[in-house]
Amino acid sequence: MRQTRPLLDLHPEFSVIEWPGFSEYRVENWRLARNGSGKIIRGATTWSWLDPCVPVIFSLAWSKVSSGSLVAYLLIGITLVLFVWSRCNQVLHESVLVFPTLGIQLESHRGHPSLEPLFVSRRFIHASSLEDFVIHEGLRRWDVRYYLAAIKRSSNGGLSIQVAFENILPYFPVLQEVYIGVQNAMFPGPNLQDS
Amino acid sequence: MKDEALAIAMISDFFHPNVGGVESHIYMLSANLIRRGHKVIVITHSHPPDRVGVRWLLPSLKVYHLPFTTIASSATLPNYFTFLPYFRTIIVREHINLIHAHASLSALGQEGILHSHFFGVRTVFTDHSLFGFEDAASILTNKLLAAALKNVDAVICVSHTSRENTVLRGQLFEPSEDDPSVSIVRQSVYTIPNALIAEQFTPSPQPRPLQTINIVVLSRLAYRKGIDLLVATAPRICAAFPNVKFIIGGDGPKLNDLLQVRERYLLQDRIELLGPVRHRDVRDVLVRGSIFLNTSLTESFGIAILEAACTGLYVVSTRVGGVPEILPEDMISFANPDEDDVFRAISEAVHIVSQGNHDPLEAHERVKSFYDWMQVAERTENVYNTVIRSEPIDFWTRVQRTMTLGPFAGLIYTAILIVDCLFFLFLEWWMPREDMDFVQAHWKPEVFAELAQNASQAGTQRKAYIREERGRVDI
Repeated sequence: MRQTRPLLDLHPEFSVIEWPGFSEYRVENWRLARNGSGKIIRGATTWSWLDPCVPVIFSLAWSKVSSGSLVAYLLIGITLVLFVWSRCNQVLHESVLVFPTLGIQLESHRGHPSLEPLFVSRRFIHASSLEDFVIHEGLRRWDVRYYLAAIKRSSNGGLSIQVAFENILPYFPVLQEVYIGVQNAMFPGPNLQDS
Repeated sequence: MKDEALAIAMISDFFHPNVGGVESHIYMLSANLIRRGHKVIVITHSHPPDRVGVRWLLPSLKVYHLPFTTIASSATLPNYFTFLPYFRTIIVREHINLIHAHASLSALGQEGILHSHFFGVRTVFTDHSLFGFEDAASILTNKLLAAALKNVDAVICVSHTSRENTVLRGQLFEPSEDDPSVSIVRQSVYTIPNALIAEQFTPSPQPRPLQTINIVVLSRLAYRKGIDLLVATAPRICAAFPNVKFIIGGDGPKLNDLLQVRERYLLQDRIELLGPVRHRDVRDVLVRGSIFLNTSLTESFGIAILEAACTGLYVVSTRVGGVPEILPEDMISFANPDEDDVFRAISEAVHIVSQGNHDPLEAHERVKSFYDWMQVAERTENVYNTVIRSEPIDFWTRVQRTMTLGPFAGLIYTAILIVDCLFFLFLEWWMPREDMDFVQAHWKPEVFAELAQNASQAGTQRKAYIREERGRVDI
């Protein structure tokens, strides 16, 4: 297993990991500020400003609900659970795994940044149903972003689009590296030895 | 890209997948500008559910379909501020130098002109239609147009009549420098006609038989297009000339009137109604006729007339708008927009055609030389170069010019301008420019030309193979 960071100056969050039998293009959920200051902007934070406030608010609310109404206790409990779940469900890193001749797999690892990933979602696209792997632009709120899309042909002939790095949405240089890697592995060009 | 190559954004509400004059003008102009080496993109609104987002059209034309809802026939409401975020992102990431807005009814185009000064981007506006001055819709539209054109760098119109109309409606005159009480028209108003692709409109090689003369009418069946005149004259023509038939294509609110007149005078075998005709089938309909009839009450250019003349038909038209400017006198008969004069003009045309005095092939050769898209693109490029070399208007002059719109409109539009600036400052803070996904890769013209050549070679090879296969089977 060998990990390299091809775009170390501008996109150090992008790494290529060579496993035996397949390769992984991983984008971690942080990036450098694009104004050249070198500041790190984290998408998944270990501590946020809400973390110390929650026990304070929770204890105040608990003491206020002294009448013992079940609904109030339930509401407070649900809010607490939702808060803990949202802090433990942050996207840690997303990857595209390339299995040459077999297919590609789009993964999304979620959890708390100080622990190992708790939840992993994996979508495998078989090489025979992978129609193409493209970079396209899309409108997202008020912005126009590049995105990587795997075009999948389902068994009844219809096409569907699966977006790689759906939550992190890295910038174009990262997408270009992944695009070239997947194209070389999954859609090899004409074999030069035949001509 | 060569040094003088520009990055141009065409902005209009009216673009494909809708079919029409403005839409095909924008597309053909963009295609020819790309051929001359510039980079062109188009910004328009989306057509849900499937024509949304960023699309590509041949040849290497990128189209942004923005999510704005339309109110009537593909036009959006003027909401001045909601376009700014999208406009800013697109202009900055595509490194645009110049925007070209089309059509006075297009709110997106006018807003693009309003927002352009934040980015140092120059503006050109093209007007495609004629408007009146009396009715409520015209008064409102003309005021909006005047406000938008106060600070535009150049205006292009499709005919001299259209130029006069736009100058009057949009108030494109300034107090002269020598004598401020005298107004003179701005120097930056140009006339560049439309064009057509003559290869798509060739006459049929066999001459038409002279026993039956077919009169072709192809237009939207609406009041503006003078369908009432057609309804009044068709029975008279059918009664006066037993060998004349009408072929009418198109759809619209006045279809019922045509059906009624057909029933009333029992002309079912003399008047043929084709319904809506696709643009690629237009030539096949035109070659069936010898005369083309256009009864529009208003027409700024009349591209349908040109297409018919190119296909070798003799044209009869009402003398309105820019129609007298487009063809020489011996290829067209004019009529005033009243019933008797239209009858006289059609009779004249029938006589000319039945005596064999009009040669379709010669007409096609003449019209082929009149209009050419490459020429239109070259003239438009000259306008762009003039605009780029001129000095941009600074902000205070912009405010002063906006205030001259009138006691109420001036204040309103200046307020819109200033709030726009504040919204722009907010956007610069909320979505900083360094976080934008800049466009780093675009089609290179050489790569595109090579791919197109390979595709056409593969196409001809495949056709030859199929012909060969068929030949083998026949033997």
